[in-house]
Parts: sequence; C-alpha cells; structure tokens
Amino acid sequence: MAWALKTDGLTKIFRGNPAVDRVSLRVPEGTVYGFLGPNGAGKTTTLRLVLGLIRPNAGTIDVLGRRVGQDSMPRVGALIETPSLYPHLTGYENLDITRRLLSLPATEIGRVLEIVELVPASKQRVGCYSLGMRQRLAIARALLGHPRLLILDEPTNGLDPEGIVEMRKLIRRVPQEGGATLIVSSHHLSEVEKVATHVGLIHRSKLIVEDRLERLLSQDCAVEVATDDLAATRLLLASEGFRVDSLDGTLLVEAASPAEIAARIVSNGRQLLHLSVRRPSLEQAYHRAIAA
Amino acid sequence: MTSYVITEILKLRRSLVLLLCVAAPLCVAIICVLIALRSKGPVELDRYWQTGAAFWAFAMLPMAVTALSVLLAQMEHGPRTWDHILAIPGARRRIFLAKMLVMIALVAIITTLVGGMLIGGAEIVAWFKPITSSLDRAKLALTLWKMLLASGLMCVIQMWMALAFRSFVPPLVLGIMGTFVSVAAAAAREGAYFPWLMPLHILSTEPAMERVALQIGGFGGLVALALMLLHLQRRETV
Repeated sequence: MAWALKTDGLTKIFRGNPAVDRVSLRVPEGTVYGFLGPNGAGKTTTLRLVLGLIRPNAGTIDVLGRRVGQDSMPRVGALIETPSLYPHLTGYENLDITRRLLSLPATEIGRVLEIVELVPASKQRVGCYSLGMRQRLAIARALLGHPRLLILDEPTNGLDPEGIVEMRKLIRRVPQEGGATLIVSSHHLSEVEKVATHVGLIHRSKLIVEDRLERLLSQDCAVEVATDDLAATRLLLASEGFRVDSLDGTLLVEAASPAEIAARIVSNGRQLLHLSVRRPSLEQAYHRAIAA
Repeated sequence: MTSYVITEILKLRRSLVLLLCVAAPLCVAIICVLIALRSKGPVELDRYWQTGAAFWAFAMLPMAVTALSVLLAQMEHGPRTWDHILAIPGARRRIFLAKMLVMIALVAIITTLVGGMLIGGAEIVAWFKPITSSLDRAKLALTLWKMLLASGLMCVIQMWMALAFRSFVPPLVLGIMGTFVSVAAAAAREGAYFPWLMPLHILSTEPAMERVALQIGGFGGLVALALMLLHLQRRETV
C-alpha cells in the first residue's frame, strides 16, 4: 500500500516531557485521515514534525515516499492552527507571495480562489477579512501547486455554525479536486466523522488507535432488541456474558453481533419483535478508546 | 533565490518601511539645514555635509537599522507566517538571506537619500546664507558609502536579533543600547572595535581607524552573516 505519510517511533521531547511519544502513523494515499485527540495531546506537535518546522528527538518521517528534511521534499499544503496571513496585503497578494516561492504560474491563484469561493474578496486587504474568510484563504494557499498531501490543523477553530458547514463542504471538495490525501486534525469529532475515511487517535502524546473509520465504528456496535418478555431476555443475555441496558421498551446489547443475538433469543423460545443495529458515534468510540 | 528576494520586496507594500526610508534621511537634512541657517556668518559647506554625515553615522543610521530590522522581522513574527514559509521545501536556506539582502538594499537606499537630501539642503542654505566653499559631492557620496560598508556588522547583528526573537523588544533594546554605548565608547580606544561606532570612524582623521572600520564592518559583517544563517536555519519554530 502506498503511504502518503508514514512515521516510525516519532518522538519529541520538550523540557524533559514527551509531547509526542513513539508515534507511528500510517496514512494511506487518497484518503481523508482524521487525526484526533484532546487539547494538548500532541496533534499539532506531530504535524509540525511532519512539516519539518521542528526536529524529532527520535523516529523517522516519510512523506510521499521521501524522508522529511531533504530539499527534494514534495510539496505539502498545510494550515497549522492559525491562518498566518499578511494583514496588510490583499488576498490575491498573499497567494502571490506563496506561488512565487513555489515557482508556480499566476493562473494558479485564480484556480484556488475559485475553489474556496473568494474571488470577489481577493482584492481586499486580509486585515478586513472575517475569520472564516481567512481560514478559506489559508486553505487556498495550501492548495497552490496541487499538493498531493494536504494538512489542515483545526480548520474549524473559531468559526460559527454556518462557517463550520461551509468549511466541511470545502474539505469534502478538496480531495475531489485533485485526488490529494487530506489529514484533518480536530477535536470537533462530529465534523470529522462526516468527512474522514480513516482516523488516528492520539492521547497524552501516544497514538492509541488507528483504523479505518468504518471498522472502528463497527467494532462497538450495539444491538437494540424488543421481545415478548424483556425481563427474561435480559436475564438470558446477561447470563451469556453480554452487557445489556434497558431502554424504553427495548434492550440494548453492547458489542454484539445482530445475527448472534437474534439466534440466541429465538433458540431460547422468545419471540423477537424488533432488532436494529446502533453504531456508536465517533465521539463514543473516542471516549471508549481513551477510557480503555 | 531571486523569487525570495522579490517576495520580500513585495511584502513591503503598504508597510511603514517606505515611510522610514524617507523620514530618516529627511531628519538628518532638516537638522543640518537648521544648524546652518542658525549659524553666524557664512556657511562652510564642507563642515555642513560632514556634520550631516556625523549625525547620520552616530545616531540616525543605527536607529534606522534598528527600526528596519524590527519592521522586517515583525512582518513574519506578528502573523506567525514562519509556520507557512519554513514548511516550503528549501525555504530555510533562502528566506533569511533574502531578508538580509533586502535590509542592506534598504539601508543603501536610505544612505543614497541622505546624500541627495544633504545636497538639496545645501541648495536651500545657499538661498538664505552666503557660502564659503562648494559641496564636494563625490567626497560626500564616497563617505556615505564607506559608512554603509562599515555598518555591515551592525546591520547583521541587529537583523539576527530581530529574527531570532519573536518579540520586538530585544532588538529594540539592542539598538538603543548600542547607540547609547557609542556615546560613551566614542572616545575610548576600545571604541575602535564597537560595531555601532564603525560608521562614525569613517570620518576619523586617522586612516588606520577608517581601515579597521571597513574591515570589521565589511568582513566582520560577512562572517556574522554566515553565522546568522547557520543559526537561524537550524532553529525550530514553536
């Protein structure tokens, strides 16, 4: 499998404290990777290491097959924490600075402005932009040069609900535009769940979970059942080791296969009136992983 | 490298740097004209331009260098654009050198404007007061350009401090202290090696002092530049 990003034993220590502790990431090419964790877990530090802004104390980082630190590094588009734009320059001029540094044609500016829908505002100074506009301009800058890897660190920070929806649409559009791999780091789990195909969860500087989103959420599925005798069914399932919660008129069996539950209920002579599968949200899976 | 220098120039649009480039030499010229107009008797233009050059070297050049270094560095520190720039492959080797080249170019422009404004000021003085000698433009230009060369080490040290610290306070304090210490060190023997005094030593009557100023300011500046680039390229942005 081709990796857009591969780290092995990545470690960064600040004043004796590990901010990133032996993190080994595997981000497949062409995916949307949700990089999750609470504040202070090490997400931004990890991304700074990937971009070469800081040096690791141990471990290696390979971006699109190349070791980080070489001059022949492939272009990685990035938005780290804040938009970091020149407020006294217009949106167009800000992009022009970057496209010159990347030796790109001027037509690239129009292309990325169209993607983020900032063409009318591009002649205004960035100092007059709203936060949402600055975020979009920063993403436009990250898109210059058709990067094969795009890193967005907390892209919805400080945005109002409408801004978050716009940002989500933009994030969905980005891989479609050029087939880039997208790494989105956020603590807005509900937003990440809507766009990600893979997730990695970092907690207290360690990577504790990394998997396809689909597989991660299917691991902790719960089965909701209704039978002709709920009390007896509950006793039956509990005696067989299942964890059962009572809901209003139904039972919720955690971490269970629907086929298995259905078979056990029916084989014990109970009448199955209702069966449905409840997938956990990413937030539930996240809290479960941290608690574990 | 060219694209890095061009982008540094483009970033100066709508900034206060251009105002500084005009204000600093204007200040020198205005003070010299006022001194000449208030003096008793005819004005010696030789003394007039040497007063201007001394005032430039002693006070305005160091302060202009301090202000320029802070402005150029804060352009990146303020909006935290280092996170973006240093993530571009190959940028580390080029961006700091590009900033230094633009800084030197701006100091050169200001130096040229000092000469031009002193010449213009002399014309104004001549309207109001009798003058006893003509202004030697070639000598004025040569003196000012030697001062520029002698200021090399000071320029690099200021820029280094401004780029190394996110706050504007350390380079500002360095510039103020350097100018202040120059007052005390001007008469001392050790003052011959003080970077902030190098431009003033171009006006010294001792050829050895001028030679030392050019060597330390020029070659010392190149050595300091190499050290600055080595240091800043390895720094982490946190």
